[in-house]
Amino acid sequence: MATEPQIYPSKRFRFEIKDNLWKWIFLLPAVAIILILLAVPVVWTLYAAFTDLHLYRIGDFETEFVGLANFEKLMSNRSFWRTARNTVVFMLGVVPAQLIIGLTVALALNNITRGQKLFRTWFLMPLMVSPVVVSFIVGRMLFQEDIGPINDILRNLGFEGVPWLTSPTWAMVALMAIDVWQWSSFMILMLLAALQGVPPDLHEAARVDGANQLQSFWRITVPLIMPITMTALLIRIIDAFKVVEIIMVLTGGGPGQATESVTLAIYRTGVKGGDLAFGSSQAYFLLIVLMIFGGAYLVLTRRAMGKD
Amino acid sequence: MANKVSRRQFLRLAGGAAGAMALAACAAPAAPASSGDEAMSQEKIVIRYAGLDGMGARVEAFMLPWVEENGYELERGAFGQQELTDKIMQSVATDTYLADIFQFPSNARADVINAGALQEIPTEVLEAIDFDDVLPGIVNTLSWEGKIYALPYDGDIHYYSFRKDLFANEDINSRFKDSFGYDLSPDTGAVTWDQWRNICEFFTGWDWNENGEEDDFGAACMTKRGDTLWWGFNSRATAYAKHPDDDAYFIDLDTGEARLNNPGFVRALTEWVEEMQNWAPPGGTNFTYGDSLNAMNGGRVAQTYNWDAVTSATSPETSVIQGLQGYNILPGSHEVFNSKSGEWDYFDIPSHAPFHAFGGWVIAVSAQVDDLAYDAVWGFVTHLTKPESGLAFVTDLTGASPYRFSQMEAVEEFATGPLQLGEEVAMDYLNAARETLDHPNAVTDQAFGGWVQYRDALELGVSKALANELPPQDALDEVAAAFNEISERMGGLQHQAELYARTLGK
Repeated sequence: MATEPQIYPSKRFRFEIKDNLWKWIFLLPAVAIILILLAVPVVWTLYAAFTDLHLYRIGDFETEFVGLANFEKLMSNRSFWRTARNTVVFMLGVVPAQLIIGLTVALALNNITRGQKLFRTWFLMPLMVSPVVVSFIVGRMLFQEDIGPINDILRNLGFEGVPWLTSPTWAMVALMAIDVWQWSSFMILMLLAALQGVPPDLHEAARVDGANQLQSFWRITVPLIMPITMTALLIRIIDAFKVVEIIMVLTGGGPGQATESVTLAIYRTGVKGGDLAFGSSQAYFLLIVLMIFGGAYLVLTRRAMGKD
Repeated sequence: MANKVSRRQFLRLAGGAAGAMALAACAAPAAPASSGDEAMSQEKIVIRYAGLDGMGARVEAFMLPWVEENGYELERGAFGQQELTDKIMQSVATDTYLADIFQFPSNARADVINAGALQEIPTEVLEAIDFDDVLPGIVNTLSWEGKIYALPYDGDIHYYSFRKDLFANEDINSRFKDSFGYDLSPDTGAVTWDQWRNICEFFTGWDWNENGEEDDFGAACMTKRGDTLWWGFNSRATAYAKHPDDDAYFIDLDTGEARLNNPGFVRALTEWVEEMQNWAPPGGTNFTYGDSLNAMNGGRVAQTYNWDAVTSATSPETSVIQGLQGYNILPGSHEVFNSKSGEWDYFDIPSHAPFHAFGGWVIAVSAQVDDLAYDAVWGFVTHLTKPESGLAFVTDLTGASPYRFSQMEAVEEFATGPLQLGEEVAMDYLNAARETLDHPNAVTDQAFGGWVQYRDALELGVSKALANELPPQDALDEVAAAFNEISERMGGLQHQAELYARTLGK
């Protein structure tokens, strides 16, 4: 009679348990610190969103629980929805542009044999500059309507100067241009790294099998760079949703409210205005939207790449 | 009530919980008590000062000899303008220590003083700095409920500034008179906003600065949201909306209702939008404070109103109009809207309502000063704000403006000191300052609790009108509604009206 082999914990298994335990023990302080630094503000902000907490209210007022009042106010607040619309428009304007520029330049760089390192370093430079500096130098100086060089060139060519910062439409275009200028480099570097990870023999095999360059690009390059592309896109989308510095420096959210983003509105309400309760509800709204969007994005991209 | 906690308790508890957890996670064993405590007591007394980076550096340079002479040490925290205000407000709200002495914007006084964050200025200090010499408009910014909590440093107000040389030019004047029927006055500039508008229109679109280009305009103002739009608009509106028989301007003192959409404000905004869209340089509806100053000092506009236009106009590096500028109190108006009657009242002599824009930076002593440093701190602020020190600051390239009666008499120091204004400009400047700070119908800047939110609400509405997103009336209706909503959140309309009365010294 065949007997089933008896399973005894091997030495190796016992070692793995101990090994895992030690890993957890060593990880614990770091995890604890991160949890504290993350969890306390997150929980505190959530609590504040359900109160009427205001930093600068003068007198003997007590902080009271107000239920969903702040979220109700948020839903009916036209000003907030305007900032939400601005943020989505901004994101839709900058991210595709950065992807197209990033991919085009990365493909070109991947095909050159000399000077690649120089260009890689070159493209790192915009990323190393603070957005505030970029907004001031690239933004306020280049796009200055009166004496800025861009309008100066346009006028010398016989065109009218463009109202870069005083027209609602052009102000958004100027902001997008600055963001694209700064962050296309990020896409270039990420996509270049992805392209360099594609084994060249796959292309050679495809060529032997009669595939042309376009087919080779769509069938081999695109699927192989897709994971990094999707990650880079997600990072840029989240960043675009949180844009604040360049808007503060370049337009201050104006003209009117044409360029005010959700994050700038949160900063103005909660940090500068002291209305922590309403500011917290706005922050939570943004957090929930980003979590839903990020989750859906990851699920959909995994499905699209056939990992599910 | 059991389920309620005060704001400070709430913040303290949250901060304490976070701190305790963080400490629990990372704390090292406590060091044993040692004789270090004794050593500490023998160390030098350190005076900690928090202020603006630029102004603070000048304070440090000025005060260092005094500090060293007395055997103290000075630690200076340097902040950007907005950063400093935010830091102070947050330290006040959370009852945490920032510094022994801090420089703060006087229109945050309701928040700062009312929170008990400052020490009342001792009588001996007031006597030592000759407090009676300080102009009434400034005294109000240092006080709360009749007590003095801060010391003067900077008489920040808006001046009307114009090109005296152009207005005195006979050819230009005759052309102006042909168009508008009266003479340009090189002594006063525009006396009313109607005249200001005529000047705006006249000086736009022709090469009066003779540089070969038609890049010349009537005026430039601060119009950028998030920058200094609040002050730019209010200085334009006070003459129409502040009635001499009514103390209130922003909100009604009886009801707390916002007045920002009354016909006085609407007229001001309607005119301002037209001026900035048609008679200001390109981009003039989104100008920062610096942009408007540069346009004036660069010789591209004929007039503006601003704070320390004097300092920047005197430097050959930043100005082409040294010695050519005239100063006066902000223009007035023959018609003023009376909020009580709901009618426009006519004044034969133009009614002026100069705006104490921002109200100036003031120096205050924290309530949390250590007992050991008490004498050193009060000695420091006394030396910093006494008349001789004050004069040294306002007559140098510090950006600080005069605020004492005695400074108004010091024409020679302004004319030939570091500012090098020359006698005529110095006299114009000092007269404008004195008239503004001592004016019976002057408008005190908004200083009741939550002023940052009110400011943002006004800037949003006005910015919408400047960008043609909304007509002026609709834009200001939104502003008024936002003001009332903020007042409700800050404790109610009546509550805010009471605080407003206190900021007016009532």
